Amino acid sequence: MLSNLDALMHGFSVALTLHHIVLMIAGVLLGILVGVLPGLGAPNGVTLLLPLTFSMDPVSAIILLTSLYWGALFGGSTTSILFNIPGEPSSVATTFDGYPMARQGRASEALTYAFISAGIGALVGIVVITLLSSAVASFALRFGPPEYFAVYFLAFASFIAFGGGAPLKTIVSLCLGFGFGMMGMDTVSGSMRLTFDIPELIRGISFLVVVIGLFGLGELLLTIEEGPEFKGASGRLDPRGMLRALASLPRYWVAVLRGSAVGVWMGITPGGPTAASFMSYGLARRMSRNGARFGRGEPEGVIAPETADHSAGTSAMLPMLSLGIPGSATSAVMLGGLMIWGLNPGPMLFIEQRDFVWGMIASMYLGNVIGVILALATVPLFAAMLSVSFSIIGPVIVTVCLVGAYTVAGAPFDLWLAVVFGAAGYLMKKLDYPLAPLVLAMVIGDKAEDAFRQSMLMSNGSLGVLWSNPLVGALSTLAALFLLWPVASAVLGWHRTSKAMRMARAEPGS
Amino acid sequence: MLRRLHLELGFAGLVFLVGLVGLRGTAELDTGWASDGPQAGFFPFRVSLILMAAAALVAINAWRARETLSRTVVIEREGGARVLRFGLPILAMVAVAQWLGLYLAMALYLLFTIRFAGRRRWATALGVAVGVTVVTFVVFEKWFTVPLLKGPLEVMLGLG
Amino acid sequence: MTMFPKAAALLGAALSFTLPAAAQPAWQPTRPVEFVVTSGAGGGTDLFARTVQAAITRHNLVPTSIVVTNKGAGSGAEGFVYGRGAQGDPHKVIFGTNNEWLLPLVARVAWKPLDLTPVTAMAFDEFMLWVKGDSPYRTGADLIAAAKERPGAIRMGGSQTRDTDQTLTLLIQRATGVRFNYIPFRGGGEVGVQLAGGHIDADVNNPSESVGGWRGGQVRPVCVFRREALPAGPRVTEAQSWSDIPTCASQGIPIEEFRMPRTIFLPPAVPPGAQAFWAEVMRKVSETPEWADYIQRTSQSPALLSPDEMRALMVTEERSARELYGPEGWLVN
Repeated sequence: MLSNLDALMHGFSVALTLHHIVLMIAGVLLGILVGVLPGLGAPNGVTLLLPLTFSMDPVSAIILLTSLYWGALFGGSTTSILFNIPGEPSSVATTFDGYPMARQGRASEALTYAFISAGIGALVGIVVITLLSSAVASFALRFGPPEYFAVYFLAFASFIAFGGGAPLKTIVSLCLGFGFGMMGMDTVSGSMRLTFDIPELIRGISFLVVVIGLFGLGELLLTIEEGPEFKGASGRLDPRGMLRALASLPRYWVAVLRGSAVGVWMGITPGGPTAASFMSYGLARRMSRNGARFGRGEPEGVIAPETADHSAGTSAMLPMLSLGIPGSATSAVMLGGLMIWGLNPGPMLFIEQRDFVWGMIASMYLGNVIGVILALATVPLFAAMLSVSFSIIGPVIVTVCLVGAYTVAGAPFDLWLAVVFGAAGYLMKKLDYPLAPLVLAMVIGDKAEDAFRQSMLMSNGSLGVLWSNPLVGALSTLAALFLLWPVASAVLGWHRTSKAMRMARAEPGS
Repeated sequence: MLRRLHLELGFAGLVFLVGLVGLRGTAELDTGWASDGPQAGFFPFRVSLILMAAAALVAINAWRARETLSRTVVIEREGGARVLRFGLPILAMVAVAQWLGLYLAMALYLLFTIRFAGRRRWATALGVAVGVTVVTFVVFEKWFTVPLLKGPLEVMLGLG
Repeated sequence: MTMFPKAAALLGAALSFTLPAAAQPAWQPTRPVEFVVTSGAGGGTDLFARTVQAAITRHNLVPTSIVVTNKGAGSGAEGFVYGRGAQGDPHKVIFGTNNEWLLPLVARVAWKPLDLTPVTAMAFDEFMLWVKGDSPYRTGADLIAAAKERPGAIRMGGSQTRDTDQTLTLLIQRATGVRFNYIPFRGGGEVGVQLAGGHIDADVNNPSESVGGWRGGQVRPVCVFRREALPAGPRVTEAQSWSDIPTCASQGIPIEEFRMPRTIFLPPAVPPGAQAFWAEVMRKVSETPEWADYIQRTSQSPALLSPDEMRALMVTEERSARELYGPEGWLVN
């Protein structure tokens, strides 16, 4: 570990030049821009800049690209909170409490919580990378298909089992999500599933189009139903809200710590940032004293997914570099970049290219600090957008949503899909169907199915493979316990009327 | 205005239908569990069945609670009208976009909704419509070279 | 060709081919051009298309601007269906592999191989047999012997189902009479990591997909599916370069050659001048330093097929694929 600290110091001497700091600022700003726009994401930004980097040295190039990635992660939270439109897939969970806070006029506060906790999460992730770089890579290698499946199962169980909501409607929502996720080509058998020979369905239904419809358009319809004016987020620039959030953040240290731990875990294992943010949100709702207030504008519901999202995003850089596992579309493009710069991702990178690796790790510290500062600086700007009358900003948001839906695959068909899911989102909200399970099932459902069926291929159809070694056994058992938790607690506390049951009863028609 | 009972039953029916379509989609897939584990249709088949069962149960529950639910108004007349006035132009924009491209559809949509639904002056509506469209064009086509849906106009102008 | 031993004979002629020095082509792009990539961002075809784009931009080979879009869903089916739908539009150029004519055999998709207009194939990606770094299998024969001893127990990983990796696995099984347990993953990089972690016993990755793992000693190439060893080049590990890896045929796996072409297509029914224009552009690209650099970095073999040679390649490969896939029950058309 000490040698790693030496290496880090060396990395700082590489990274801390004026040239590199300018690159970081440029990268973060561009990242915030692509992160804010739902149609663009970090992969677009990285592909845009990639040709520019061919003439740079690799250290400057990776600093520019990773800074853009951090910027995009921060920017993605902004629209989640202000308009309920997740700019990036991993910021879906931020909408659950961020948007209600914004509607209560606490937009500045919510954004501040999001950015600061995200920054802390990122720093925790980088510290883990710094200290454990060699151990992490070999740990990640132990993940085969059964372990992959167990990780997805665990993320899934911890979110679902700890959620509220009417059980039957949760099941409907889950099944819809699984079903939409299965459409398209099946990796394991190679056959087309649920495509009905319609060419537009070959690529399946994109998760992003569904989210834009359900959350973005659906929310607009709900808003307009309540009244002709945007009652939601208060538009005034509110520096006191930011200060209030800063002052009360230390109170949430448990949530920050838990979120970071979940994030680092999911970043190193193949779970990824999106699953991490859901899992962290689910755990926080269960374990926090304020759990009952989740979903109605609870700061902890913003902090939990944000810390996990960013610590997963940063700690996932390590498996990417040392094993060449692309954890996301963005890192896949970055890996392509590495090859073009003449570097091969792999364990030798850490030995042969110390300047590159440690320069990059050092730049992650600084890049994320710059990210927090610049993101906070944009809060007044975005908050000002809310003071524009709804009769103008409403239609503009609609066009932004539709442009975003189109760019996902460049398909006119997706515009229809977004509208259909917008209507569905509106009706489901009206009837108290929870939307989050649908989204989660779409995100990890097909990956989990692939991993499960790969495991079955390996074990010739025996479920025992999920308990075939201590690692996968522990994960599977924990996941099973999480899933059975509600059943167990219902049986144990049968004579008491638990809160969940009261809620279920109060919910008509479920 | 719409009563909760009707909406509950209607939506559950819709979900049931979706499940039925899904079931139909698995007809030509192997839905079994072979020696090498579950086949392609295994999960889709079961998910469709569970979906249909859950939808049916939701409907049954709603019917059993029909006394209360038929008294609950879920969408008021005024609110519903506002939703339709807001939603139908979106549908129109999407239809127009298929034919004239996204840029033109977007400009027309912004122009007319801001002018008529928003009751703003023509100048405001035109300014926002042109401004947003041009900014979108520059950001997507020029900066990030992400092509959006284009129609005959863009082709005529040599932009598409 | 070259995917199948029978088709391989055609290759020699193909490699030596260059387009006759054409006069100024009759057709020129007048609008922005779209490069349709039939893989996701960061995939092999993506790198191919972006290299071509970079070379074209750097040397001003096309008068209009070029945008690259990724349509890689369904093993690339998304991009080919899109190309098929852009009937008569020579401003869309589709980048792929032999999946253009193999995918319609094994999956129900909405195009036929000869629907699209072939332009050229610019390179052939090699396949190698890889094992874990500390694996007991030193030669191809070792692995085959182990598979004979325990039929169906040796796990062979590969990218996708019924795609090139599984086709090669099938060819190995046919040639040696063994049976592997084929496990499909989403991409070559993932397969390489699974091999490094010991979750599978072998794979047939392309050289560029596993070079990092080889340098780090996590995985090790056993042999290359090629007529002769790769041409001499710089050292990859401390002791070896690509040219030190023996051919699989010399190691007890009688498969002469198996390679994957990097192909370029236009939509159906484009003007003949457009086909000639793009063939000429690609010929110029193949002479740029950017292209040479790409070929060297990814350890591929350069090529430049004429449209007619492409068509011949497609027809012969499709015929051999039908013979191979038929008994496995893979064919859907």
